[in-house]
Amino acid sequence: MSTTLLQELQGELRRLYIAGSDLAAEDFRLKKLEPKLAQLGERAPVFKRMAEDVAALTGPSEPEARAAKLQDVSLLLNSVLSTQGRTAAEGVTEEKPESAGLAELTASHSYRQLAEVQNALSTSGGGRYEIVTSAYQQGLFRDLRLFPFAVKALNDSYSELADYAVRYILPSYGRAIVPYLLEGLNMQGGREEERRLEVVRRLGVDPDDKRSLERLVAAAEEGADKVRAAAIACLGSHPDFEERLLEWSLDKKKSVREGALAALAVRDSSAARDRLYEAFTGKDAVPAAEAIGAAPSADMIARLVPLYEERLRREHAGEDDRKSKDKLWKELEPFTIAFRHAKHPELERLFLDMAASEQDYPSLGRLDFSEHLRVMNQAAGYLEDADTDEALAVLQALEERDPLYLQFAFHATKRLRPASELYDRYAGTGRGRLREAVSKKAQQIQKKLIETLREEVYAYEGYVRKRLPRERVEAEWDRRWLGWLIDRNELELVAAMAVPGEPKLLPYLEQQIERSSNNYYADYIFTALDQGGFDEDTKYELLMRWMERKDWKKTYSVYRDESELLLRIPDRLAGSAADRLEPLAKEARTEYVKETMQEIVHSLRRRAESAN
Amino acid sequence: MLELTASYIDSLAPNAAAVKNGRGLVQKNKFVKLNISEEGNLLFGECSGSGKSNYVCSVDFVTPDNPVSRCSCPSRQFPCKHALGLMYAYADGTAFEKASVPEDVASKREKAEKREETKAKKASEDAPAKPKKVNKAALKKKIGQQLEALDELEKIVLSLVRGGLGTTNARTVKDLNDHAKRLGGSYLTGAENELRRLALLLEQGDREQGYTYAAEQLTLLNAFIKKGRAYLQAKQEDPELAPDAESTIEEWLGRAWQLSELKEAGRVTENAELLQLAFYSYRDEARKEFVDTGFWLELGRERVHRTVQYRPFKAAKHMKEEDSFFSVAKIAELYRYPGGMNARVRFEGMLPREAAEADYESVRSAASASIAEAVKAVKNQLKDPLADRSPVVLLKASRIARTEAGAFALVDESGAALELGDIYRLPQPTTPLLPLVDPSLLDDCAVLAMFEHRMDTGQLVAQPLTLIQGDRIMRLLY
Repeated sequence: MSTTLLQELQGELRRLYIAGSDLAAEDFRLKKLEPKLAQLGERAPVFKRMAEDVAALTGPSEPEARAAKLQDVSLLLNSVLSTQGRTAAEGVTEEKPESAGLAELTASHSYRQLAEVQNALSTSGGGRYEIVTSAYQQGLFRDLRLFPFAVKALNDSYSELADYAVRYILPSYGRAIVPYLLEGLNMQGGREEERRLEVVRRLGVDPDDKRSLERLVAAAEEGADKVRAAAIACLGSHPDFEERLLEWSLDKKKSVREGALAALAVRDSSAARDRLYEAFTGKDAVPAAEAIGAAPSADMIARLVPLYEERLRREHAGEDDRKSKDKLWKELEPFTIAFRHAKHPELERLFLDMAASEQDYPSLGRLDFSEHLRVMNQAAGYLEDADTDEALAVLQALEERDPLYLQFAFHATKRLRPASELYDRYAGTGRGRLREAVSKKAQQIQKKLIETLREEVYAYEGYVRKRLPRERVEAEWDRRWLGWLIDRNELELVAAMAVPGEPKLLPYLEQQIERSSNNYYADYIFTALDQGGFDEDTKYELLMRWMERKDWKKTYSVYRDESELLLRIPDRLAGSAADRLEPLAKEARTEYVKETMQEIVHSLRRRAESAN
Repeated sequence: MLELTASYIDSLAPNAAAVKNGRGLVQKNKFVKLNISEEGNLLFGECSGSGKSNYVCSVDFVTPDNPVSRCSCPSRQFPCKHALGLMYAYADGTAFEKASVPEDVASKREKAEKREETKAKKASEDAPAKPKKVNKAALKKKIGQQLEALDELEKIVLSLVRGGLGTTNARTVKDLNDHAKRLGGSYLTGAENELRRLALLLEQGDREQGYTYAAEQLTLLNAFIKKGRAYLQAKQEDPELAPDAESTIEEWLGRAWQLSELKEAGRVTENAELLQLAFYSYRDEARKEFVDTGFWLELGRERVHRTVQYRPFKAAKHMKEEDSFFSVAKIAELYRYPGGMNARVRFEGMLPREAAEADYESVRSAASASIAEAVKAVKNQLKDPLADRSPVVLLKASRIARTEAGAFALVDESGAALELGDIYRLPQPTTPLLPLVDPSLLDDCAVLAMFEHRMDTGQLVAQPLTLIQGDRIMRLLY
């Protein structure tokens, strides 16, 4: 059977469907097909019928009937064509679909699990980030059906999500996906392709994978500027491209130079270091510093330290004006960038000396306050992590000179010395109350000290600051801190340090309850009460007093933690609690508060009854 | 002893959120009390919620294939997260204390038992079921309305054909949608959906592709009008005529088969065992429903069935969303709808059983060894314009290979090759996943594939849904 002819007829009928059957009369293209169909009709009746139908379609007829005819021919033709569909694949090779080397991926998850993530990665709108991150944490991305969506995430309109894919999801598949990623690279693309190459850079290209390397070089040569830079940055670990990298590092385009410098820092050969040093001392100082900062090698650091020292020690003559200050900072800033994550004995020696004898480095004196602080903070921060007695001594001396650096010495002391010594040094003898009141400097010290303490005892968990667990407070901190903080009325820190057995704690908290009724304080007061190891009756009494002190006429909401506290009242006290709360609830102005309080009263009453 | 697996509990849950929340309750230790009845067929307990009192909930396995959950929470989902949590806690191996059945559950059990009894009694008393009385006048009136609506439909279709698809615009689309609504009012819901589908095709961004499918849709409507008219006229003359339970024409006209009707027509298989091979869900804008579709192999009978669950957009929140199912489902009564190769099936209640070696063997033997034969069957179905346009077949592949053009092909043992591609009727492509699959799976495996005839190129394309080799099942969709 002649499928070509039928397919041709199908095309003509489709054309008529688009143009309208009213135009079918005397359609010469259809008419041309008719004799061919009639000829075939001699052997197969179905063609004969088709030839007749086509004749009727093009011949004289009512418009309605013509439309019906078109429908009928088409119906018959479609039925016939449906039995003639080509299925044979052409040019079948011996090859399998080339494997992406991700054979360990599974397909064991269910529709519900996958669809949620797939939707999140193919739509826009809120709540998607949490779905994707929790799916990643649950290992859902090990399912191969999510892999294409992980790649698609590079182009997500929510950049946090795209960055998450770059940093966590895609690297988790391992180096095997590099060829796959490069296969899909669009050289003229934008941010998405930059991200794709960033993943490639993180994973590294297999040196034997010539195809991927070729693709990278092509992108480095022909891509859009950003793509070029990102592709060049991937080539650092391949010695063959050193010459090219050196060349690119002198390119006219800034982004290309940046990519090349980043790659050279990874390369870290002597030629690469020479070029980086040259850039560092030339006009590309900041890009070179960024490159070194991202991949600090010992040799490179060793080479930069003497230069830093020389520049810091330089005596300055002439005016101390804006222009000269800016020029000086331009010379020094790249070092603060390059040494960001660096560790090197030479660097440590320099920082020790800087912190101990700042006066030997005249450049420092000429810097503005904030810039000076940045340089010194870097040095002090380095020393804080050094964990040596020598560094500690220098930091403590630095702190004596300027309380601005108290935090470094404090953290280092806490790490290296027993808890009691920390207390003695910062809060114990010699820093009596009297002195604090009179000396401005002492006040400054105390302020800084309390800030530093806050950092230590409230650790960030996500976006929320959490109090350290009680065991850690007891093990790591001298108990005298609690009394010291109570004396200074630092409620937040009292709550953080509260442990059982401090006689001053209860009176202090009672006083707090008398003084304030703001919910902000309630959290700290009741945390301190909980942690202070008081018995149920005391806690109950204070909670009731707090409730009674409240101005219910101005209370518009019952906070969750408040109602939880009330519901936690032990059964034997529930009855009297209900008695005391009930009149309070009546005072409330808003229905919501009234209702919530009533609910609480009810549940307390029920508990009281069931306890009896 | 009661045996529960997490995946079975997942399958009972109405949606993914309920699964998450149910598990969350267990993780957060929200259950205050966990009890199991002496006979081990009732789980009950208390779960603390945000309110004053605990929620009292239970899951009753007295009829194991249809567990009943009860809870004092106000949720409209069944089972609610508390009942699910109760089951997850049990499946996790948490200790359940033995206790006697609570009074309220016992009384409810009794009532249910009584209901069953009276039902059985009724069934045995008047064993020859009363033939349903047909209100002939009403039926006649209904058929008359349907015929009239068919004439209307023909008119609008022909005027569209006369004017041509090229002249359609937003107004045409609106007219078609309005007309579709009227069809629904005249008991032609099947036609309503198809007309709306045509409107959607005309709205499509890619006009060229839209035209091809729209032209196909127009011929489909033509076939439907003709067949429907003949069928309705026959029925008008003889109102006693039983509904045609062999072809799909009743469904096209918008009939929703009732299980009892299917039973009457002898379309029930007893004690069937089904293994799901593929699952997907998509938004059908024409029907305004989510459609959860599953393809299941009936073990021992070597037929691939389809389960379809429609969830109207408006009611989707309150309906159970189906999910992939990985165990074998043991079904007492399997109701088969009229239809072609993958006729729709339904069942009420089932018992899960872990899939075993023999089941996978059954998959192998059910797969068609010859591409030519399978394609012949597919084409035979496609010949009928009102038959399902995308039949699903289980094929045996000696290997899956690349073609020179970069596409994929399935090669059978005789060396014949079938081109694999992605089809229009499925919501997602699967061939891009083939290079990601463990290469050893691509030799000597069974492939579940969905076919579609492309009118514009004259190609019959197959999209792989699932690869099966030994006891490894690699689902490319879900």
